Amino acid sequence: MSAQKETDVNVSSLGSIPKLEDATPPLCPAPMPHQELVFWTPRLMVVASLRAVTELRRPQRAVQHAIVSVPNTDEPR
Amino acid sequence: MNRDEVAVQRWLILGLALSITAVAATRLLAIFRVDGVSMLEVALVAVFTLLFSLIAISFWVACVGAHALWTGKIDIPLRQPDGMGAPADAGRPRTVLLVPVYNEHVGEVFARIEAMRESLREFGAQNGFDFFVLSDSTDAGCRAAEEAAWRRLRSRDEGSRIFYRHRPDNTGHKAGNIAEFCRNWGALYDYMVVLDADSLMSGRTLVRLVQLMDANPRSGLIQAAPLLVGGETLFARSQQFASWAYGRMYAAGLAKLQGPDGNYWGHNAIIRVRPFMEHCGLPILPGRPPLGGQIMSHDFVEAALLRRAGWEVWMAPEFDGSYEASPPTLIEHLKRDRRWCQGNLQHIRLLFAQGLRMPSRLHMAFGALSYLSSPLWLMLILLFSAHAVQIDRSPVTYVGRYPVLAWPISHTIAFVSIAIAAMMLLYVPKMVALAVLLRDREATRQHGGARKLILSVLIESVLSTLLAPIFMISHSWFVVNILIGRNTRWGGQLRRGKGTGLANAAAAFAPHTIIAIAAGLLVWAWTPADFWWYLPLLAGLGISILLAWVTSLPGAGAATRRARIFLVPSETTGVAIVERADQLIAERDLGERITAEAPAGEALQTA
Repeated sequence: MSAQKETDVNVSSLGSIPKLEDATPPLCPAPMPHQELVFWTPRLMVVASLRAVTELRRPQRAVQHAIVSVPNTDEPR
Repeated sequence: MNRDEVAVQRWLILGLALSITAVAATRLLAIFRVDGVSMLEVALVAVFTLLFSLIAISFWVACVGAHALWTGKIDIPLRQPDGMGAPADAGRPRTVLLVPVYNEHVGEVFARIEAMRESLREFGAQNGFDFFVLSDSTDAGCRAAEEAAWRRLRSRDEGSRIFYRHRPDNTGHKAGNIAEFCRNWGALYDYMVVLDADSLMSGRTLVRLVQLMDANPRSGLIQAAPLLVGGETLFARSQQFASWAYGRMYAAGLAKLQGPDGNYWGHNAIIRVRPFMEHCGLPILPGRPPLGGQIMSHDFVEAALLRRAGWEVWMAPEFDGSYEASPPTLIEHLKRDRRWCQGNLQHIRLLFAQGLRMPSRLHMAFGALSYLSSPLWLMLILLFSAHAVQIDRSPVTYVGRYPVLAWPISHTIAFVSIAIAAMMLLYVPKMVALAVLLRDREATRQHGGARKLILSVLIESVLSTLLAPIFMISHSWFVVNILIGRNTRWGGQLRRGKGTGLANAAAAFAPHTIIAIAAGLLVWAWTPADFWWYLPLLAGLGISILLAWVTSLPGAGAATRRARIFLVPSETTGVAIVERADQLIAERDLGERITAEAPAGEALQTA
């Protein structure tokens, strides 16, 4: 652990110190998009409620049994 | 504990809090119903119910936390990594520690970075972590000092990957600073640990956090609850003691109840970079500041956006290697509260954003209520006072020429029982936390022994009671100012233990003192029998100038430390990384003094 003080750095040693231009790694740009927030307004709440009521009034969707044929070509002969 | 149990616990706590609130509210209503309920009384019961429910919820959160600490079950339900070795080596640093700074004390910032770097080296994990100082400093001198300090640190630590970037404009404040880093270099890293200028995290905790993220790929963010360290003034030391004595209990309670719906406190947290970049680009709120525009308290919103996208957010109370500093004085604390108040009130709008999860909305609602509760408490006191005056001045009823003798029904016992219930909700958690500490011999010793620990809790309780009405008045003023559209500057923060001058304290708290004198005189004149009920409130306000001045003095803090009051483990047994950071800060302070005292020629040599 170094007990060196900040004042111990003198001008002659500054040559080996990295320049500020090299202070960061090369850029690696990537997007960070602003998120969209949609706020509830009285109108939106009415529309959403009406949609929910309409959905509720619809007859429940029937569950149909699916018939899936399974090929037996990969069975051991 | 699995996630169903988290849900059951949430509903149980909510049920308990609402039940005792209902009991207290119906008892109050029963008193008023004796002679019919007036509009004033309806308002009184409504405000009382809201505030009582808030302290009841806080009480039960503390109970859950105390139970977790008592039974030693504070681990979060995450898959635990195997062993405690260095994280998986990817042949490159996978984690970056971000240190956003804005006109901070440069020596302290870089001393903490150096201490963290050394701590990581002790774990052989230094190659897995980069450091990025993200400067938004506007002060030219500060910026020059940052550049010089960065150069010195790099020259002292050969091969270290400590980077420095200065942004000419601080668009978006801290959140904008982090976002700019993410856009430029975020893709280089798997994780980022966001720090504050006064944050300190041990190498062990950093390694552990990375391992937890590796072992739990659905985790987007893990918040390590920070403890306060380095307090010198009486104010900072009392806050620091409260953080160690009660803070862990509340953090454990919150962690249990939040589960994967946790929150982000803005620093001392590890974040998975990719989902953060994909989902946490902050929107601009419609409308103008202070309630619209750029989001100021970004942390709650970022946690909510991560949750909206399906990522888990955890609070980890079991780590003991996460630290930060307390504001040194009451005035500095209130300055920070002014900014936080505006940020939290902005969140009210986000309560009505589509797609957010209910727990995220609750985090924002409780954040806003933590400031809105001040004007509500003030309103409750005013309503009670108006009610007392109304009762005292009830008109005398006459039948013919003769006054009807109305035999007064005393409700004192009922009122006192409600007041005692409220007091218990506020003070019992402190006693429970004390019991948890006293049960642990090592923890008791680290807080100065049983006798000193009990004394510290008692003094802290008195001090916080005196400070509470000051916060109430100040926060109420902040809320009013924000609601009428006054914006605040998101400025730098004083983090060192400078005392507040008596003149400054007088200027800041003269309004509080005047309010105390005026209210005291009015209560004495109108309802003298109730005066003693108001005394705890009036006392804090009445001595606010003295209190702000005395608690800001480092000498008063040192005196309590000598008397072994408010001792915390970082002061008694010591915490290695805190001690190392303090040592490095002291060396830099000495360096600065030598530079300042040296003749001009010498100073140039050492610049």
